[in-house]
Amino acid sequence: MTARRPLFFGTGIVRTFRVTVKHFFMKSLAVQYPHERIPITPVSRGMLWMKGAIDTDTGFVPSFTEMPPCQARCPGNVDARGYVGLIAQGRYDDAYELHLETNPLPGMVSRVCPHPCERVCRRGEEDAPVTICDLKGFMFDHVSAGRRQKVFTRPKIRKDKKVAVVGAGPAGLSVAFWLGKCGYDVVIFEKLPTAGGALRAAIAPSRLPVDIIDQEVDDIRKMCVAIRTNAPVGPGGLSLDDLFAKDFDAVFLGLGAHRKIPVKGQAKGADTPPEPSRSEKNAWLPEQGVNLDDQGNIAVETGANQTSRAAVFAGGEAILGPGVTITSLGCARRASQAIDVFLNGAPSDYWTNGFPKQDTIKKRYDDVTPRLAKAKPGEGVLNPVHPMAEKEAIKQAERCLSCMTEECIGCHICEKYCPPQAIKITTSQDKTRHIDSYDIDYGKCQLCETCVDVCPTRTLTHTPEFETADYDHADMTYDKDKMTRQKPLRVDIYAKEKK
Amino acid sequence: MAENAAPGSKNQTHLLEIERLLKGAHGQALVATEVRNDELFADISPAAVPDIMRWLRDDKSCRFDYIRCLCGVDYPDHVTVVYHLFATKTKSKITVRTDVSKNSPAVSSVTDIWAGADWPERETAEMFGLVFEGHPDPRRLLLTDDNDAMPLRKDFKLDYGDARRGVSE
Amino acid sequence: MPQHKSTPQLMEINLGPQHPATHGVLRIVLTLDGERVVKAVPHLGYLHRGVEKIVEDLEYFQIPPILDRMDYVANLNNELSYVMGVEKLAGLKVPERAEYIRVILLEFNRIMSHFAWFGPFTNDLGLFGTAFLYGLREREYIQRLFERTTGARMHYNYFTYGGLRHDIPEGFVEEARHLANRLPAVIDEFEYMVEENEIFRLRTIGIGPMDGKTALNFGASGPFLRASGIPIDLRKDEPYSVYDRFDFKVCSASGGDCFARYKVRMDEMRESVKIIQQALDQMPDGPVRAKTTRHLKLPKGEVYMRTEHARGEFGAYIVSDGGVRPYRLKLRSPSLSNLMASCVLLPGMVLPDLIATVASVDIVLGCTDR
Repeated sequence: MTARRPLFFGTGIVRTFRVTVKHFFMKSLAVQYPHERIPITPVSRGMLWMKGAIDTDTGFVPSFTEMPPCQARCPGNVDARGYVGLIAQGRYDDAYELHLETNPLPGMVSRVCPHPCERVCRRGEEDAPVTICDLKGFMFDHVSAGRRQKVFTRPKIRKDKKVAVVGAGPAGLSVAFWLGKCGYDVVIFEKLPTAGGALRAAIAPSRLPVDIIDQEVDDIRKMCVAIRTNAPVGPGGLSLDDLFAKDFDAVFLGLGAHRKIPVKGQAKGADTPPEPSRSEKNAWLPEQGVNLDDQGNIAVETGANQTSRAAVFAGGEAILGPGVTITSLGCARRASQAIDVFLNGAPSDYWTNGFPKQDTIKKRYDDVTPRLAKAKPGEGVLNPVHPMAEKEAIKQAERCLSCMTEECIGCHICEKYCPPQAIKITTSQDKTRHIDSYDIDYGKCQLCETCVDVCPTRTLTHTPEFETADYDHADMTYDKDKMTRQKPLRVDIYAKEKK
Repeated sequence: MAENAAPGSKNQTHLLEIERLLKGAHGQALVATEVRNDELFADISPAAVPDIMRWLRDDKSCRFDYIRCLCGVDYPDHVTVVYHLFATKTKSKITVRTDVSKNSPAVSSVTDIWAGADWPERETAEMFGLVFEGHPDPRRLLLTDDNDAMPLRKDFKLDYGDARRGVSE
Repeated sequence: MPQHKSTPQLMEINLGPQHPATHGVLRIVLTLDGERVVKAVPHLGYLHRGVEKIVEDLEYFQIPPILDRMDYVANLNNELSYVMGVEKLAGLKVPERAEYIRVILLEFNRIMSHFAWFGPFTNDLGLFGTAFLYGLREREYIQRLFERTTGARMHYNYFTYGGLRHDIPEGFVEEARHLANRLPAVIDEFEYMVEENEIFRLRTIGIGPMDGKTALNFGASGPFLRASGIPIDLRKDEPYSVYDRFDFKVCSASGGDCFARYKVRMDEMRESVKIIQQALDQMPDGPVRAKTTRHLKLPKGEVYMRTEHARGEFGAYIVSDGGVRPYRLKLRSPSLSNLMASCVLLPGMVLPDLIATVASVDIVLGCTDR
């Protein structure tokens, strides 16, 4: 709209009268039209659109930019949605391979992890969370020997750089795995007679059987040049200078923070008990140029792994203090990437050539299975691992809602919570449970955004584009083909103002 | 928030005083009283409704001259009628609750005390199947005259037809 | 011409439910003696949707959209009572920024509602067209701001327990400030338009007077009660949200007639503008939504939360049995009480005065019938 002009100023349209309306219009001119002055980004709710839907060829590629709650909550950012989705498809080997990208010790971790992922599981808001940690154990038990052989093979392309890993705990073992995958020659130094660190020393065998530790340590051994046990670094053994003298290009300190005395029976509280004399144990480090912080941990910058001595990195409980295993693994992964960048100049291909995420979206959804087994109160904070039957595990994995995949899986949650019951979904009754139809009746829809709020996959979006006027009620029902259409039917009402 | 005044505030003291006076004047008809969140809650027997209500309005320390809200709540064996009263001078609040048996669903009307109870009583009567004795105009308010349902009772289930799909009970 | 006999010839007519002057589907059965009203019996329920029953089947997070449809002129005010009741029972702390945004939008909503009242009111008095369109035009500007903020023109669904559904858009503060700054001029213009108008004065001054004591006894509230000389305003008397941080005065008038009700609303809008300006100045940064769960379970208990709606005291009485759905949600409608109070004024009036009186009460039938 243009500024108002006093059209009738002066003389009126009737020639014989002189109508002076000056005062009235002058007053009105003081009133300006606000929307012409400042453009505001519109967030108008116009219509519901779907980003993608299974069984609809939309050419849509999920972005995977946002992590699902389980992965975001996990200290190691393990892609729980991904491997649970693969388990649901019966692809245990692929699930295992995907799991190793963020956590190379699924067997051990599944026995000791306090699984914070299950606490934030979106499915838990509906009935009960997916038993992610049990599925991890199931996956570890069912991975084939052939795939295991294939995964734990050192790559052919070598980098001709040597890395010394001090400490064969979870952090040290996983750093050895990732750096081995990147093509470095890794040697692990462990002062105890056996590898495994806190998990072997402080966890009761009733909870974490020794053969699982042995199996995973053996797997990691294939990725290294050697695991040297009874080879302490520090007092009574090699110094850091000795290591660099032996042509090592970088050192990773995964010293841990655990006590040597194994806890009898079930551990209570956390999976690793606190260590009272960390400062004393780490007292040799400042002489070697590695500074400690107030608590006796190795000092690093927040969020980084580089110590005060060049080419010396640290990770796990040595910098974090006592905690849970998965936190150490997350820290170790960052340390591996830092060491890789330090030695190679740029990140290796391994970090980017991961398992294709697109494959991990499960194509089936089961809304009937309740939680199969649950830790009884008083059984310790951690779940006792129960071996799952294959059928059970697949049913359990199918309960996953595939959060944030931006592709509709037909979970019926929007239908369930739509206040005017405008949404109608039908799924096939056979075991594939594909969505046959997804309809929104715009004659009923009140654009309240409740469905957008509750949608776990973030498939439904509300956009300012709209086309809701129609002459036939049948046309007011939008199916998934209409809703996944790439171009809006009518131009954005604010398009002109946005310019 | 501002309204959650500290215990011992002027308002709180005043409410405790009213509670004491109420116990003195109508102790036998009181089921329970409580002062919480700057508000006085009193559960009374239905027979004592006219006396206590008139006392609450007329007693010089109370002067609850304004009826905010009158409604019913259905429970398995009784319907609770809830009166939210307000004193415009002292800004005190009181919630009076009385349990009316479903076998003899009658309670005295308070329209002669507060004219503002007129329509809310008519609505509560039709929604819960209550009778407010002494109401000057006991017609239905929102429902049609031939509708004998008591919609806000819990045994009245909404019939969604096929509209309510996928809702698990 | 032959003289008529003086015995009254009573006639019964229906005013409404479909009549432009009843502001919705209000039906009043009138017994008329000539043009004088002998008896007026209002019939309600034409818009009864059973909101209080429907919400018993809904979870707490699903309820705000249906509350929008009660009083569809001041929707945000409806949402507030319910949302604050849930917050109080759940013990949720709302972020400061959300409280300020709430206040700004609520006061704009109040002004919008008064604009939407002003237009049709003048129409009912016979000032056809001009003032009506002015009222709705000004409302439209604020509605534009609301549309861009909440995403909807009328049924906003913007407040949620724990704060707001999303943050305000970029440029909101500038636009809101601009709107607030020009509103006093608009209100002046409105007053200039009608206040010296002979028809307007004749049809409002001394029409439908109600004294304060009667209004109070009938449970009236809001501008209707304040026009009768009783300065009760919940924003001042029982401050909720952050209203205790703003400097504003409670507007009241002594006449109790239609003109007083008009005047109170006009003054009240100026005070609302003051609140908006102060809130815009003080608004802090930060989150707008407290961390809550979607399927909120309220502890067992009850709460009666009341707020100052554009039309008076809007109450939400929530009874929880500890589940995810309310056991009972009673919604106290200010329109219902005010309409009930005004109906005692009607007998003895001439018919046009009845129209003016009912219009001056500012009822929304979606709210009275629920």
